[in-house]
Amino acid sequence: MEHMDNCTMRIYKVILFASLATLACLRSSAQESHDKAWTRLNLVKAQWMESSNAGALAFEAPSDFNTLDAGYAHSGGDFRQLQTGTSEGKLHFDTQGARQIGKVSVWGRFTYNNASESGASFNTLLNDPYDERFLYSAADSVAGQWKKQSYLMQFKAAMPLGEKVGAGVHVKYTDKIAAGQIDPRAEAYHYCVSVRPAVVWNSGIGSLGLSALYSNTFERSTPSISNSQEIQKLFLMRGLGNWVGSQVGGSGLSTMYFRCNSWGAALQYALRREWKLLAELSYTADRSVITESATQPKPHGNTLRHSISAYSSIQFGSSVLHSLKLSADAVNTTGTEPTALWNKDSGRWETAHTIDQVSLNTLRAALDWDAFVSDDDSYTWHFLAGLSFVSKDDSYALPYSYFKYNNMSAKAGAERRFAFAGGASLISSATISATKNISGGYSYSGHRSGTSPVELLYPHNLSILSADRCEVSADAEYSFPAAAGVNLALCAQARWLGASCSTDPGPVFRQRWMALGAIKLYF
Amino acid sequence: MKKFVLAILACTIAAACQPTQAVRLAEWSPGIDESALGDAPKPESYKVKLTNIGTEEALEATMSAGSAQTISVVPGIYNITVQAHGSSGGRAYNYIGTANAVKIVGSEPVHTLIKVTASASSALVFKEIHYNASMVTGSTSARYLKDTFFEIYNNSDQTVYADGICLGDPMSYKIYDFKDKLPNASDYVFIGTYVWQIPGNGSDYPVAPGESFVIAASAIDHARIANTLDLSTAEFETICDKYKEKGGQTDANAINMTLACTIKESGLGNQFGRFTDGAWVIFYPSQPLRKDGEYLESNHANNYGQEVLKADILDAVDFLKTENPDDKRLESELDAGWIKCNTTGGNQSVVRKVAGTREDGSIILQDTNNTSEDFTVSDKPEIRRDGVKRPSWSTWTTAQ
Repeated sequence: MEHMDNCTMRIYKVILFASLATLACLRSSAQESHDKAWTRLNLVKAQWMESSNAGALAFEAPSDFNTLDAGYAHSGGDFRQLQTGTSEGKLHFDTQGARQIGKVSVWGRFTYNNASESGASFNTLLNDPYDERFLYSAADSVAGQWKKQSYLMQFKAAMPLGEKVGAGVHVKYTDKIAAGQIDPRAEAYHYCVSVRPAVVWNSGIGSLGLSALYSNTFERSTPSISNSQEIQKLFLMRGLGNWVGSQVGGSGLSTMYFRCNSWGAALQYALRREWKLLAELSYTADRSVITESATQPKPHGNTLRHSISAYSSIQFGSSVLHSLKLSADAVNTTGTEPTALWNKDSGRWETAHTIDQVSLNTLRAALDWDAFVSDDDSYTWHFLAGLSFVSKDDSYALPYSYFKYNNMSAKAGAERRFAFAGGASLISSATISATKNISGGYSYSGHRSGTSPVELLYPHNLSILSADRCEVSADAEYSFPAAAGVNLALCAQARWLGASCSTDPGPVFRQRWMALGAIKLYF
Repeated sequence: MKKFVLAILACTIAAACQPTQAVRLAEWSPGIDESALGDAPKPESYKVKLTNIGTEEALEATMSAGSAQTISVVPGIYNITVQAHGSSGGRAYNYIGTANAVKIVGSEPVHTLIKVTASASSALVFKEIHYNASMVTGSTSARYLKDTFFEIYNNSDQTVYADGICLGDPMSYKIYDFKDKLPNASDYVFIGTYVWQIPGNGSDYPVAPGESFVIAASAIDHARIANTLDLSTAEFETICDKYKEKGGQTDANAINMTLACTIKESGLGNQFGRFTDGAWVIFYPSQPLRKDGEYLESNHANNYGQEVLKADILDAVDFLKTENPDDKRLESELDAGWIKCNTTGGNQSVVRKVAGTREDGSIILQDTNNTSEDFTVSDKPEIRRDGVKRPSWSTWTTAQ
């Protein structure tokens, strides 16, 4: 945990820097106070903010704003995949703001999370065990505790290049560390940097945008044991329950390296009439390489992920602003297993054979409707509804195994803003959503039958992911002027989910809850 | 607008439904080369075992030498073992042939010719080995290293003699190379730390069928000190003058082994070169052992070895510290498999399986030259289990 402490110090410094930067914004910002409703509407109207094209902010940026959000959330319950903890406490700090500096529109955001989770299993190495790019990781059945910290810094900057052309860039930097607290434990360091340059061209038939993406992700995870008397067995996962054996301790698994390079491009089209339309089509390819040991790299597997996303948003109305969004994305990840042989002459591992065994497919589609009953630059009511569909279809080629499910979800909610004298406001909301499973199943026909990844991990996770469930949430936020141009807000949120999970003996009712408290500043 | 949205959805779904390249089974057809069987009778059938190096999946099939047979497997790199057992004239034979890292891929059947050799089963075999130590009584951290033992059993129906038999730990054939130092280096294994030898003039220590003898690191009752067993009735112990001079070693009543070679001194308290991993062989040297300081240096500087003819080896076992077969030290012709215990202090032993019982009630141990199949791991080390007898000359115990 020494590294963890060092990193904690580093993160505290970053928070301090972000706080000072935010204060600097505060001093120079307009002396009008905002709240959650104003900020949300501000971002909704800036339709391009949701796209991957930062260049368009040169012509349509949100109004200047700054927010700061610090809080603590606790969640728990048995509705969880096994890699998620039975309980989790998370401290967060988030600040963002947008400003117009001369011709340049700037938006920036800093997010810090400090989480502690217990009861998670089947993840020995990774910050994010659900990252399909890194499916060739290690797992163990010991339920343990993790401490995780992450910070994300990002900014968008855009400026017009003449009357019709704008250019911009969106840069993100993520840094995470995670430390397992029970044998077999690991210290994992993760960083990701991504750059999205973009241009937009305004013409008589609308605006055309083009953006590109390059992203580099790296994670290094070193497994270890503190009790050297007991070597811990590991599953080196190969997908859908297949694994090869390894261990931590002795001459077992050494440091693992997860690397990914991503390239992508997106095309946008926007039209401004009495209504506003924005559509985007994007493609991203992620090529990942997973190896063990830096000095004698041993290949553990490669993945190639193709993602195609389509997104369109239309906004219309003035007294009631309607926002209709339709999105769909398809993701295919192919996992390639290597067979590595040690070449004693060259003193290195050599890949003797590779085989594409794993195919992971996800298809998502969603239709969301939001309506804001306007009140100047804010709203009094916000109604929302949505439908979504998720299809998961994973397979292992030989021997053939599959893991699949199809779910339909619907949600509805309402939010009310009460304005009080003196600039104070109370915004409360309630949302309900329900998910119905249409079909699903897990079938395994490999040679690892009877082992815990096959008998426990995948059946349990399927029962969670394919469960019929209902979720309700409510939150309230009271804000009031704390100083000139500054609103202070107190926020509370609660969420509860109940699900009927199909298991071998019969349906099991599982639930999960979350409670959050936060303090926010709007300025 | 509607058409635009539908077009986007159509593109997305089409992309999602792109079929991935199909992976098909590959076909393998084995061929058995029996030209090296010599006078040994040809077995009627062989057991073929294919182990996928990448997935660890093992497939087994039975085939006859002359038949044309194909086996469908997942494309990959395989280690292949062909085994059979037979008997003739009252002697038992093991037949074994191996092919390592065979690439079985593609649409055309892959044919591999595997040369099979035959060897008469050794009379003396490892019966039980305790090599991963135990914990000092009442301690959770102090490991007790002196309770290592090797039990060696006469698996034949004739009396043999233990005199002159040596015990040693071969170096990894994958890592250490002596081809520049010795003609026909592939005919040898190379011992890396110590060679311990049973003294005697050739007929001092007879071992009758159904009897075993125990080589202990220290022939005392270790159960008084640690959570382990009593070795005070062991026949031999690896105590010699060199260790007595260093002190701390009780010289029990057991016969002291001769430290024939110190190739690389180890500080381990059991006077063996290794604990939780390592291979072990017992052999009867047909040529003189080298003197200290005259050992051959391998391709890795300062790593020396004492050569031992493979033909002199009576039995060999390969113990791994991990589940990774890449760490195997012995070639398949000596041991086609391997076995693994817990880490140091785990107080486990590996025990050879019982294949049958003779009319006199003595057991016959399984000996296929494949440790993966011949041995199991026991959580309770024990000497002379299954009613095995002590040799007639072994009458002592060491009281404490």
